[in-house]
Amino acid sequence: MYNRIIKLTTKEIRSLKKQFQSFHFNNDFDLVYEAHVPNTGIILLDGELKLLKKKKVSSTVKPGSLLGVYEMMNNEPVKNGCKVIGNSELIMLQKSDILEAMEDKESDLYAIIKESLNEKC
Amino acid sequence: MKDNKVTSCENCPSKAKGIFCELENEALDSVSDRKVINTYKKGHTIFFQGNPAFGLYCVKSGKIKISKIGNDGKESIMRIAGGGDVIGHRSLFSEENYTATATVIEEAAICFIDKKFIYKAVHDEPSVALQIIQKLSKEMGSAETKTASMSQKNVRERLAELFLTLTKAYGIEEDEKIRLDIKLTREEMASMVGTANETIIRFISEFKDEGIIEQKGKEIFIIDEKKLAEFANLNY
Repeated sequence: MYNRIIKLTTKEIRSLKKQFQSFHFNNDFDLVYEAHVPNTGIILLDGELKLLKKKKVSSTVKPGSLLGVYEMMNNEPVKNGCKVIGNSELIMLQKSDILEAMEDKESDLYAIIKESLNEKC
Repeated sequence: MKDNKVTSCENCPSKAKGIFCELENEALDSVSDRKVINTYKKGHTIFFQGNPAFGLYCVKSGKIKISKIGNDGKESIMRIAGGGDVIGHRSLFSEENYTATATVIEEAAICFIDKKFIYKAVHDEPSVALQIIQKLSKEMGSAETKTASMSQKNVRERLAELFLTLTKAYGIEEDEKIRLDIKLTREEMASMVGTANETIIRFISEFKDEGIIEQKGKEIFIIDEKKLAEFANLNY
């Protein structure tokens, strides 16, 4: 699994939507392969993400979830692949975004991601 | 954050051919810190036609085909990327969705660098901008040559030209022959030349009969490069 799948509040989602552009994925696509380090943090706004183990669906991620940040920032491979299902809307957090937020601990993004940066809650 | 010297850009075997080749010390270390490196298996998709771009991909090793799927569902291979090449940069800088799909054809180690960092590097480091411009210019040149070949040359000439291109990029001299260090299927070769599989099979047989190429299993050896250049009609 992912170390952290954070369920975001409506307020947090509203704040993220103001700060970051969201993207639509029209087709099913493997965002992260099993045993890979995620290239970006993933926030699912609408649609569905499937977590895969040996190409089989192990669980489904619902809208309002944030995942992959801890693994990306720590170069840690994920145990499950992550596939976006067509017609989903996502915000992709770049490593640069996270590093900027870590330098500005007063930022809204830092408040949202700080939980996902800790190895153990 | 974890530090991994093994994945440092300084030790990358393709550094000399990459866009960060002139960076040193701190500047290069910052790239190492920002990138995400993964090993992709054959068949893995790096990015997909129509999806948005979030960064660029630097190929450390392996081979990736960049292809477009037409309205009829047919695949056309635009180019093959290898160590030192970057992929996904055109869509990143044009701020468009990907206009092609990148699929691994030989296991590949690929570094992803996010858009924000690349834009900053282009702004702060003129050598990075220059390397990207050079790569884009070379790709444009290749695309122009390919377009001209498609309209001016016949299939036999285009296949000979493809073998010469592959020789230049992936040729390894072995016992007075040149081994092509890339394994392409007949379908992939047909897609690159712009013809049907049956036609490619026929012309490969003809090239073998003429003693221009040899085949051992999936490996192709170039025997007579000069004759291949004649077949390719390079002075068109």
